[in-house]
Amino acid sequence: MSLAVETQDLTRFFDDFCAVDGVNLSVERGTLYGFLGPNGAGKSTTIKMLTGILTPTSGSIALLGQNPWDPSEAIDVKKHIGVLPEDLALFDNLTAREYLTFVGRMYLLPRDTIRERSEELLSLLSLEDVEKKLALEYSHGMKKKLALAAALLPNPDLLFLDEPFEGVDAVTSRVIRDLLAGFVARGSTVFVTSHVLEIVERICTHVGIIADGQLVEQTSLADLRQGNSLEQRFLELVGSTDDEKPNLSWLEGEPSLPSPDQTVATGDEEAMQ
Amino acid sequence: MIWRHLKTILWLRWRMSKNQWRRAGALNAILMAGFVVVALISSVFAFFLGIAGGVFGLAEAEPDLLMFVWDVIILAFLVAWAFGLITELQRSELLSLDKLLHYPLSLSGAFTLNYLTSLFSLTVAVALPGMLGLSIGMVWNHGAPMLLLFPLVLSFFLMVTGVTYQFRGWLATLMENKRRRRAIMMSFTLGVILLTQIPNVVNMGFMGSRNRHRREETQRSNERLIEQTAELNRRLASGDVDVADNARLMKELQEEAEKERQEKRSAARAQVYNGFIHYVVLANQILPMTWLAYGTRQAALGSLWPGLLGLVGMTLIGTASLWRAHRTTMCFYTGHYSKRGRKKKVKRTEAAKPAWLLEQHLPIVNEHVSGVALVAFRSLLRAPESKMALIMPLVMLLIYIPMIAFGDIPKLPSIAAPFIALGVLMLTIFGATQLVVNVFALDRSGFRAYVLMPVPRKDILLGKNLAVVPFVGSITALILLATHIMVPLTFTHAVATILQCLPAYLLLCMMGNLSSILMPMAMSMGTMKAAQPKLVVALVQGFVMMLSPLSLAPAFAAVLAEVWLAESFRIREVPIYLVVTLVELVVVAWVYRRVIAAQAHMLQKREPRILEIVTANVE
Repeated sequence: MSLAVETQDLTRFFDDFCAVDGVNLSVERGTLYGFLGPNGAGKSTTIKMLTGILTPTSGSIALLGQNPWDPSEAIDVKKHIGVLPEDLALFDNLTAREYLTFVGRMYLLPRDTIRERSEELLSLLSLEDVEKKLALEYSHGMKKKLALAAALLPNPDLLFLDEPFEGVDAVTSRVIRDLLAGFVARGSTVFVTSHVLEIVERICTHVGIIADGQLVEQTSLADLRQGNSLEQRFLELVGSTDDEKPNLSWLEGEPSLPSPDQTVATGDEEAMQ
Repeated sequence: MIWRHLKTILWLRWRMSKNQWRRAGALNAILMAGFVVVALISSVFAFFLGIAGGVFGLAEAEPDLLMFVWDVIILAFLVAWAFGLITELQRSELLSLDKLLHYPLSLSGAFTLNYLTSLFSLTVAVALPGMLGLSIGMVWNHGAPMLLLFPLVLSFFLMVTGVTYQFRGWLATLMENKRRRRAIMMSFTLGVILLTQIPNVVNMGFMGSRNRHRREETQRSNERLIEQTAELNRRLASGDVDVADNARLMKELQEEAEKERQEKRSAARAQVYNGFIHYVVLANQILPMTWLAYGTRQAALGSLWPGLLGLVGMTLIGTASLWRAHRTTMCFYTGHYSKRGRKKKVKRTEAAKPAWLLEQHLPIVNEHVSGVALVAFRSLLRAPESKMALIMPLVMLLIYIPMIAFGDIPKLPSIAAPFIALGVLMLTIFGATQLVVNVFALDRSGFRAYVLMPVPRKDILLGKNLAVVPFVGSITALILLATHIMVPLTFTHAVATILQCLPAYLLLCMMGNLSSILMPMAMSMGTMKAAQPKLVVALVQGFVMMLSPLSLAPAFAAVLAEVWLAESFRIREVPIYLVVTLVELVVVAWVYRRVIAAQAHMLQKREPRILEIVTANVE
C-alpha cells in the first residue's frame, strides 16, 4: 500500500529546545491515523511542519508522494490536502458563507459547486443559523466547525485535523465521526490529533504516539491494544503509572461543611435572602 | 467584611495592571511605573497648586474669571475621565460583577465594591486634591460663601462617577459584542478628533469673518478719507483755504479718522466679549457638569442659591444614576424584570443568500487574484481600524474646507493649483500607507489560510494590492474634486494628476510588499496599534511610511519644470507634467511586473516566519 504521509528524521528546534526529535511517520493511504501524545509532546508542531505552516529544522516530508517544502511542488500538494490547524485559519471580518466561498475559489471550484457544498456543510455542522455573523463573533466551537467545513470543502485526498473534537458539542462530534468514517471508506486518508482517547479508540484504524518529541509507537490500533484499553497502553507508553497518585493532605479526612445552625457572613445577609 | 474585600479588589486591580505593563516589555513596565510615581506626586502637587492658585493667582479675580477657571478644570477632567473609561473598557481583563459573584459576597455588596473600586483612578487621584486645594484657596480670598465649594466639588464627583458607572454598565454590555466594541471605539476616536477640531474651525471662521469685516471697514474709512482729502485739495486749488489751513485740516481729518477707527474696534471687541460671556453663562446654567462653575460665580457675586440648587441637582443626578445602575444589576442577575422590562426576542429566519460580492470575477486578473482581492476588500470594509485609517484624509478635508471657505485666506494664483493637487494626493497616499506596509498583519489568523491554500504567491500579492484600490481611488477622487472646485486645475493638469495616482500607488505597493514580507509586525485586535513592537521593525516601517510621499517626486519635478519653462522662456504649450506622468506610468508598470514576481518568491520562503510573527502575539 502506498503512503499518504511519510517523514524521515523530522526534527524541529525552538532555540535550544527540541520539540520534535527525529520522527519517522508512515501513514498508509485510506487509513484514519490517530496521532496521540500528552500536552507539549510535539503533536501540533509535527502537524504544522507537515502542512507547511512551520519550517522543519531538519528531515524530510512526503505527502501523497510530493514534498510540501519544495517550492515547485508545494502548491500542487496543497491542492490535494485539507487542514484544520490548531489555531484555525479564519478571517475575523468574514461570515461563514463568505469564508467558504473564498476557500472554494482558492481551490478553483466552480461557483455552483461552492454554493452547493457550502450549503450542505453549514447545515451538517449546524452553522446555518449563524452564517450571517462574522467569524469574530463566533464561539470557539463554532469557529472550529467553520474551519472544519473549510478543510472539507475542496474534497481533499488527505485531511489533517488538529484536535477536531475539542470544544464541539456531542451532536456535532457524532456528525464529524460519521463523516470521517465515510471519508476514509472511500479511500481518502485522515491524520487526526486528539486528547479524547475514547473517540480515537472508536474511529482510528492506526495510531502513532509521541512523547517528549519522539515517536514511541506507530502501529495499527488492534496491535497496540493487545486486549487492553487504549488509555492503559497510552499511559504505559508515555511513562505515567498508577504510583503517581495525587496526594493533598488537606483533601483527606471529613469535609468541613457548616452545621445547619451556622451561616456564612457576607456583610449583607438581607440581600442574600 | 466589605472593607477587607475592597482592599483585596484594589490589590487585584493593581496586580492586573502591573502584569499587563510587564507583558508589554521591560521598558514599558519601567515607563508605566514612572508614570504612576509621577501621577502620585502630581496628586500632592495638584493639591498645593490648587491652594496657591486660589490664594495668589485668583486673589482679585472677577466672578466671571472664577467661573472660567472652573470650566477649564472641569473640561480637562472630563476629557481625561472619558479616555480612562474607554481604555478600561478596552481591557481584556475587565473586572465585572460576573467574576465576583461566585465568592461569598451578596449582590449589593458586590455592586458597592465594584462602584467604590471604580473611583480609584489616576484621574480622580489628581483632579480631586487639585479641586479641593483650589476651593481652599478661594475660601481664603473670597470668604465664607466659598465654603459651598466643598460640597459642590463632592457632589460633582458623585454625579460624574454615578452617571459614568451607569453608562459603563450599558457600554460594557454593548461592547461584549466584539464587532460593536470596535465600532464604538472607532466612533469615539473619530468623535474626539472632530470635537477637538471644532474650536479651531470656529476660531478660523470667526477670525476670518472678523478680519474680512475689519478690512471692509478700513477700506470704507480709507475711501472716505481719500474723498475728503480730494475735497480739501480742490478747496486749496480754488483758493478757498491757504496752505497752512489745509495742512491743519488735513491733520484733523486724519486724527478724526483714526479716532473713529479705534472707537469702532473697541465697540466691536466689547460686543464680542459681551456676547461670549452671555453664551458661556447660559451654557453654565444649562449643563449640569458646569453647575459647580456657575455656583462659584454666583457665590462670588453674593448669591448662594444657585450653588445650593446645583448641589441638590448634582446629588440627585448622581444618586438616581447609582440607584438605576443598582436596580438594573439586581434585575440582570436575579432575573426579576418588570412586565415591560424585557421583550422576548423573536427569532427570524431568512433564506440564505450566496456571498454575492465574493463570487464576482474581476476583469483582466485570474480567479486567484480576484478571490484574494475581494476577500481582502471585504475584510477591510468591515474592519473599523482600516476604515479609521482611510477616513482620516476625509476628516482632514472636513476640517480644512470650512477653514478655507470661511477663513481669511487670500486667493491663490492658478500656478499653485497642480502643486496643491499633488500635495492632496500625497496626503491620501500617506493615509493608505498604513494599510500597505504591514498587509499580512491585518489578516491576523487569516494569514494562515493563505499559507495553506494552493495559490501562487504572486496572486496573493496582486490581490492584496488590488484590494486597497477602491478605498484609495474613491477618497482620492473626492479630495481631488474638492481641491479642483477651490483651486481649478487646467485640463492637462487634471488628467496628469489623475494618471499620476497609478504610478504613485504602484510604487507604494512595491515598498509596502517588501516591508510586509521582510518586516511584518503583529497588530492588536481591532486597532492599527502594534502588539509588542520591535524597535527596529517599527523604525523601518515608520521609515517606509515617511518615504511614501517620495513616490510623487517625479510629478513635482515635472510640474516645477513646466512652471520654470513658462515663467522663464514663455513656453506654455508643452504639457511636461502630462508627458512625464505617462512615461512614468509605463516605466513603473513594467518594473512592478518584474518586482512582484521576485517578491512572490520571497514571500513563499518567508511565510512561516511571517505567520509566526503576525499571529503569535495577538492570539
